[in-house]
Amino acid sequence: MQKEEVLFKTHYNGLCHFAWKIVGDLAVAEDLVQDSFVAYFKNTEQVSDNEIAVKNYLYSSVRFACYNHIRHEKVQQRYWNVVGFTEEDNIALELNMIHSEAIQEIYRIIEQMPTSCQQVFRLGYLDGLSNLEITRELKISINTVKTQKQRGMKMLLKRLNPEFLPLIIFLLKNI
Amino acid sequence: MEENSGHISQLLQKFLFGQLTEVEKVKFEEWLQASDQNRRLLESFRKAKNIEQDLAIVKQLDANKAWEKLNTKNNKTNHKWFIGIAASLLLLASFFYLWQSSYWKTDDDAVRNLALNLGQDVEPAQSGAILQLSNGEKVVFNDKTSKTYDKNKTFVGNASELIVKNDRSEHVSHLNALIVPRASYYKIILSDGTKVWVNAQSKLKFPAQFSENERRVSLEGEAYFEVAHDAKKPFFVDSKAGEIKVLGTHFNVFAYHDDIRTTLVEGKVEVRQKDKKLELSPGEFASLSKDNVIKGNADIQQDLAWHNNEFYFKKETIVNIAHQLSRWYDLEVKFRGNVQLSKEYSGSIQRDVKLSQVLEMLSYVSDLRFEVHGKELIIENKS
Repeated sequence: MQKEEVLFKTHYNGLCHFAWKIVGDLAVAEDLVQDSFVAYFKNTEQVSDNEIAVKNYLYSSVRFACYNHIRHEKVQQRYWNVVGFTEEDNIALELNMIHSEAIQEIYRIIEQMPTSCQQVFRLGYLDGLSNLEITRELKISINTVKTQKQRGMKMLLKRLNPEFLPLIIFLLKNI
Repeated sequence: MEENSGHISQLLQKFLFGQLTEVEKVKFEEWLQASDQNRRLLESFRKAKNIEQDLAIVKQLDANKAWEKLNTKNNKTNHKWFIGIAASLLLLASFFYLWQSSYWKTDDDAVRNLALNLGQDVEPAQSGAILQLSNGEKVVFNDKTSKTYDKNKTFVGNASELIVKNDRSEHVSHLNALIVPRASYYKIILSDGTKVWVNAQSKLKFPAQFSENERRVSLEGEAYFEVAHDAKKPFFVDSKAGEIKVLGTHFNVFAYHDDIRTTLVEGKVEVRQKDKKLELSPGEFASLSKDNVIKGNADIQQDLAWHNNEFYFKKETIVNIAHQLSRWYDLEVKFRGNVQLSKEYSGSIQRDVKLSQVLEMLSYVSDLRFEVHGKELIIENKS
């Protein structure tokens, strides 16, 4: 894989989640993220090689693209009103960025879990099924469900950047 | 590290459920005070309640597919695609500027306030025009009551439109001129039923009575034509660089400079310059310059934006944007300092808004700052 492809695949999900949080439409979010990547690839020489700087740059440009999109929509509706539209401050932005990165990271780890564990984990946390429902769905005992969830959670705890740990506390309580 | 992170996670969990012991509270407090980042994490933790929904969103994404899609899109050089690129380029560029100067700490509000300095707001263009009759007499159409001119009642008009009646007594060589000044627009219905919308700072010359075998008008500026069909009498639009021949169609002519751009919406037109000829199909444009005629696929939304009551900038330089604003709001534009004139901007906004609203939008998407004093618009870099 080329450097560009790696960069794209590393941050795509997180950026889309991030954009989705702002525009509220996943298809639009994906378009905006892809546009931002294209723009970035054309401007590579402008941006530092530093991985974190590149990441920040991408998140910022996606954020701006999202706001521009929202504005454009508003303009289309003839409701262009500066007062009515407030942008989040930069601390909130950084939090959102961390949040999106964390979600992306959690998802990546889930994908790496052993199949049986992953199945339970996905049903439980992505599809929102209760333990009882999972036992019916997969025809396994409730104890197996619990064990797999715990296994999955251990993997998460082990592999996840400690920075993101607070997030999964909400998952923990569902074990 | 592993142990440590697990520990913090446990503390956080207990904190969440209000189960911290006194000792743990101290530890937790220490951890919280240790860095800004930790405090931010606690904040982010509050956002985590919908984590299952968040994960469900990520579940719908497929980075591999998206990458493939991106590459095919990229190779096709799709038109729509460019809007995105242009928009993002500009956003990236403007952000990069802010980013270099202050990283995350940029205060958007401060920038916004700085970006616009308006003495008095400027109203958008109004409907109205001046008719210069072939005998030199001038008539101003700028109020609502309809007026009738000429002894044969050839012209009936008010502030919004002028209707020309077929006047057989008028000689075909007698040309009248419809003058649409800056900050104005107007609609005229010619004696053959052809409708012409004329943009600001434009001049349309026409006879009250067309000749036996052709209909001919001339244009400086910009106009949108809906030509009444008459196969026996072709309709010609003369411009500095050449002529446009039509039978019955809808098209736009942009003729402010020496380069004339014709954009065809419906029907067929032929663009001619001396011995060179080009035929256009709907959706195409022709560009006539001094000694060159080219054609290509037009962006109808862009070329007809003015007719659709829209400013629609797509990869346009601030110079072009400024030209449009100067005509629509009757402004003198000046650039101060080192403004990058080649940078391209995209965006759209309704045309019937005050100047401040357009500038507000521009200042959002650019690193430019605007100042208005009376009829003067000064554009400079945000400092």
